[in-house]
Amino acid sequence: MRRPTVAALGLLALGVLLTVGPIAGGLFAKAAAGTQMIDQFAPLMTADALARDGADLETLRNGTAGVDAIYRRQDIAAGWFPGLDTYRRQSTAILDRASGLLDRVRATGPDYRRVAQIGGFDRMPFLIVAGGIVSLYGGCVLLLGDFRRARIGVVIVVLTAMAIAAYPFVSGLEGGAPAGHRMLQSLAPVMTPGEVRQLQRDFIVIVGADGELETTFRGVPRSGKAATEVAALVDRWPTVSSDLATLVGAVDDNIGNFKALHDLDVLTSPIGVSGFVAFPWFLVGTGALSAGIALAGWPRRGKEMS
Amino acid sequence: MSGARRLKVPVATVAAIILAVTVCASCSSKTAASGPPGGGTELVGLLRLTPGTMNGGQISGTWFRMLQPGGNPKDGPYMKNADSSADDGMVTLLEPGTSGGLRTGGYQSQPTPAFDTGGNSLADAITVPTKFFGVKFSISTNPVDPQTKTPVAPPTVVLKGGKLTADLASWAASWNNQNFNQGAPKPVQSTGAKAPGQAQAERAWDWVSHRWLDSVPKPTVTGAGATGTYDAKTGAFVLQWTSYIVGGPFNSFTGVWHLQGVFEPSGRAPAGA
Repeated sequence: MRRPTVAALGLLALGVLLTVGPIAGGLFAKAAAGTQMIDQFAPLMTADALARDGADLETLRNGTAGVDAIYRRQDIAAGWFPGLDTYRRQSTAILDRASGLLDRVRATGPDYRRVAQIGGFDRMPFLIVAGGIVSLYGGCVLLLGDFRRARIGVVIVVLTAMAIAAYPFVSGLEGGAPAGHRMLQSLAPVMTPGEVRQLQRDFIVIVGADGELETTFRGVPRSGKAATEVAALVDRWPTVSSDLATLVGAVDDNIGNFKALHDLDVLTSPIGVSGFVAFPWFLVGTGALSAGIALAGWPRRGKEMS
Repeated sequence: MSGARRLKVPVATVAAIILAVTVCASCSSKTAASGPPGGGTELVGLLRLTPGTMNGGQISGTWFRMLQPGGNPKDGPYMKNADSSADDGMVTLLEPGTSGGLRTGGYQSQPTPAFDTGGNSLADAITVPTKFFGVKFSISTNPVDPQTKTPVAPPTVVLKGGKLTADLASWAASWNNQNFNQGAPKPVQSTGAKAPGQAQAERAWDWVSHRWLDSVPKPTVTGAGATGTYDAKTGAFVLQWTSYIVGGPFNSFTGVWHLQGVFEPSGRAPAGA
């Protein structure tokens, strides 16, 4: 009356790993952080929002050219409009940074959308832990249960293993995970505390300049194209300001979430593979391994168990 | 039949334990204390705000400053609001809103929607929406703080020995489609990512641990409250505080708030108003 001890111990070991691993590795928090970041970026990544950002930038650029032209024509001395002076000194760098950010966000769009389509990303750790608990159950019934229970246990393990292996293909994780890796690579240069501080400083400089455009600078004579460009900036300012504030706010609010996702991606860097790229295949491999061990321990009456 | 009998024993045992624990917990529950903790008299009513004014370099009434990172409330440097002429834009003067000011013991919540299409705040009960860099900002007090998503107490002001201390954790500024908690004390952030079911599990655990384990609930606010003075004869009050800005484009700046006016006692506002 020999029991499939090796298979049972294999399932127990796998069960412990799958149950403890996601909890100890903080997978629940990281997956939740990733989902939150994707959700919070959604309003920024729509075609409408990206087009508006482009128009905002164009308005800022034209308005800056208009202000420069008025400064030249009126021979305005430094110090009359300190906010505008500060902005003009930094405008090239500020507009380049804004343009670079927008280009980066636009380029990330297709990958972002693939990641956003992954179904139940934040529930994935539950699936892994459930697989672990089922493996533990399967190992226990193979070691201690009667013939009927042992067979039912193996069937449950195999079904759960199939669900884990199928998840990447059903949920879109298989295609979305490499896109997630590319998205992280693309956003990494801007999703840092230093970059966010710089964006905030740029925002403050811009609002300071616009404040003067709407008040003290109004009295400066102007005409032609420059006047039109400055008037357009003043008119459009509430939209520009709101879009900028929303963008800076979203980036700032998600620095921690981005870091959590990045940590997940570099989890497997010691073996030279992105965590995101490896993850779907880890699930497929785990499912196959779990099913294989369970089937290897399939109880046979009269031979191994009573 | 025998299976049913086997089931009856544990079910009855569990039911008895639950009943016993509930009865014990009910017996040990404490009676709510009346009056503010730490003594004093709670001022319940309307803090009618006096409009901010600037006369001969002297600021009075109700106003707001935004302190730049690294500055101090006394000397600045302050953020210059180009839409304000007071103190060369370093101060933004505020006017009382449709309610006349700040109601204590109840909320004056944000309207829905909270902003117009230009990002201007539509909350007009406490203060009149006021231009700040081309976009109007205003104040509301809400049961759940719009920025931190943390449940907060309604404004509470306590008079003790002629001095005021206030819990204004619910004081929320709204501007440009963004919300900034500007209260004192500050609500803790409740916006961190949570796994599905985690929030419900935490709430259930908090309830269980508070009810049966006598554990102290986690603090929902941090830091000091507002302070001020009160003249019992005239009802004149002053409240002031600073509040660090967390997140958004003004992250790390600090709001400096000064409310001045006359207190008008009245009944407590209905909860959740």
